Amino acid sequence: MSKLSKKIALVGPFGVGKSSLFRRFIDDAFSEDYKSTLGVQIQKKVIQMDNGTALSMILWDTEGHEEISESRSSYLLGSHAFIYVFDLTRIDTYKNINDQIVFLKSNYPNVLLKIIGNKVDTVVLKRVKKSLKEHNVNYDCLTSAKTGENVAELFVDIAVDLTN
Amino acid sequence: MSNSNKERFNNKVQLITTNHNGIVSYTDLNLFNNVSQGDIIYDLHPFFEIIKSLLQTYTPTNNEFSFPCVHLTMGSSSKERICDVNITIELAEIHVIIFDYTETYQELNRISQERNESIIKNQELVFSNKLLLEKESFKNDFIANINHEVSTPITSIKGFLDLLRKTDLSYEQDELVQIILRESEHLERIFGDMLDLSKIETGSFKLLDEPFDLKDLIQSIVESYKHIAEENALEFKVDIDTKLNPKMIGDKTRIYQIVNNLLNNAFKYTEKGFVKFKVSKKGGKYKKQIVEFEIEDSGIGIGEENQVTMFEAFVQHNDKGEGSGLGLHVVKSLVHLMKGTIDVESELGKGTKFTLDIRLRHDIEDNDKKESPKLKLKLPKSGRYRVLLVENKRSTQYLITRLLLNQGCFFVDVVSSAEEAIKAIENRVYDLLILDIKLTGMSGFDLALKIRKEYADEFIKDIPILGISAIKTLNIENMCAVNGIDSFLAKPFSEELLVGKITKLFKRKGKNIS
Ligand SMILES: Nc1nc2c(ncn2[C@@H]2O[C@H](COP(=O)(O)OP(=O)(O)OP(=O)(O)O)[C@@H](O)[C@H]2O)c(=O)[nH]1
Ligand SMILES: [Mg+2]
Repeated sequence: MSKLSKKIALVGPFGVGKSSLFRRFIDDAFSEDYKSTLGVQIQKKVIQMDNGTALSMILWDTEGHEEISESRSSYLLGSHAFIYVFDLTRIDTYKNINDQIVFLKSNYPNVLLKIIGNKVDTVVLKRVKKSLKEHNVNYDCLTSAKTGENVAELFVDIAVDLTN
Repeated sequence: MSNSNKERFNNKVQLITTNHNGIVSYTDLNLFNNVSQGDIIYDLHPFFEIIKSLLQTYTPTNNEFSFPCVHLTMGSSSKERICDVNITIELAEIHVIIFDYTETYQELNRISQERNESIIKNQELVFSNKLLLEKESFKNDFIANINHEVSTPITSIKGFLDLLRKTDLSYEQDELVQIILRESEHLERIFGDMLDLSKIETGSFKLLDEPFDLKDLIQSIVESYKHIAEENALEFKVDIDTKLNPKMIGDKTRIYQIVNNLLNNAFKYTEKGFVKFKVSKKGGKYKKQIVEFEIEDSGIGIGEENQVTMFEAFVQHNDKGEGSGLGLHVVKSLVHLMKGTIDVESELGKGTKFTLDIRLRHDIEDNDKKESPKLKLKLPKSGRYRVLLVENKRSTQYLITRLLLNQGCFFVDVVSSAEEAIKAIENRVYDLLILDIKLTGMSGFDLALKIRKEYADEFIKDIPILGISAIKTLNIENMCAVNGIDSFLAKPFSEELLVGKITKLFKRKGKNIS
């Protein structure tokens, strides 16, 4: 029996909530404190798929960079999916997001990419959506590591995409 | 390498060798001592799963991979180390070399944490400011408008009621009219409180800083409550400290509002007995004086559990059901704005005592000021400042021109539209532009923006601009700032205010002031 394992890297600017999403997913916990990640933390979570297979999700929670090109390429190496996280409360984390996406898509053309707006608990949705539109941001989902909103869904989605 | 160096080095590096299935064939125990031969490296830490994909992609010439700054723990007991990991894949073996740089990295982490935090704070501020401003300006405009809309009809209701009372009314009718009158005043107060609160909350509330006579103020308060005490058969004990310095600087109206609010409550909630009003000098150094007001009554009192929350908005602690529940909240906010304190002692059924300390400044220059309310501007070489007044209302044109000419140091040119103003400033150098914001045609804001953006000549683009308007929206000053207007003065204004604003503006813009 070969265990299926997939590497998923959380990337994006610092302070957007990558570690918080990681923690919410792995331990179902959250902290208001900001402890900026240095380098990379790796954890594994095995999830049971509907079709009976068990998937080991190897999550790489990387340190934040304003530009994805500044990230250490060894952290991105061998990924099956990227979760690009931006912060809905800080325009600076998404105003140039399309450049980041282009970088990822051209350097890692076969890797699944999910664009996530996090901290949805803190914003007025209508207003933020307008701002996202103004900056041409196409996102896959809006999450809150704090409330857990859409977090499990996001990872399950990825798991499904990766096993199909 | 010397032995001790070697030891030090060994303490920081661990070598693990596995075969291509990940089974450990060799390891030292320098860092993680729970690794043993036969272990599967993938089970030691999920990081090592990366080896699986490296195995698929490596080539004999591209077989070394390095992963800096990886957080590793192995086994539940081992502590976390921050390591650089080098992985080399050979034909039969995989060498994993782990370098422990925990201390160095932790130091780095501290630095990057600080940097990130400060950047994030900034970005959040920008964002939340924008959001708040939008929300607030909507709310404030709304409240200001409502207030305006409501105060006009209330004023006329009160006026007509007064007229009505002068007609021939039966006793009962007169009673009814008086009730309506009282209720209208009540309504008026609620709207006043609302407006004050919204200003306080947005920080746009400005306390005046003006000389006033404290004794006069106290006296007028006492007078107005004497009657009420008589009407209600209550004893009104008044105790005013003779050591109080009467010449103060502060916001008279707001002090009145605070004290009035507390006295009003005292009389309202006292059926029999007394209301006491005591004012004393409590100390203060040099220019400062702390004035203490005590308002005490023998009324219904406030239960202990309510004393904590009574200063919050929309809280009422009586069954009289009057008031918006904003009054005490406004009082407290005003007191805080004046850097004062307010305390309450109360016992249910026995009475209530409010103690209020307010810091005021002595008006030391009192005498000088009265003698020379004139502007202290040093004259430019030309002898006078040249002012362009852009105002479409005749009466205001006249008023401002008169006020300025009174000072003896201004030339005033008057135009009544932005279009004419443009012609004027292109032809002549002005020291100041006084600009009505509400012009017909091009607005004052547009004119100011045009001046700031479209002209290269310094004498035009940097000209000091004073905006004037009767518009009372709360964020008008922000709007001015955004549109390049340096300073704002609300109509109607006094000579002193106008001249004061101009003096301040000139000072800020680096014009000569004596
Ligand atoms: N309200 C709210 N706060 C969040 C959410 N997610 C994260 N935060 C807060 O945002 C801050 C940064 O979160 P992290 O998860 O450390 O951010 P990061 O992307 O890992 O940051 P780096 O490691 O520096 O790149 C922390 O103070 C979190 O508590 C969220 O969904 N809602
Ligand atoms: Mg992090």
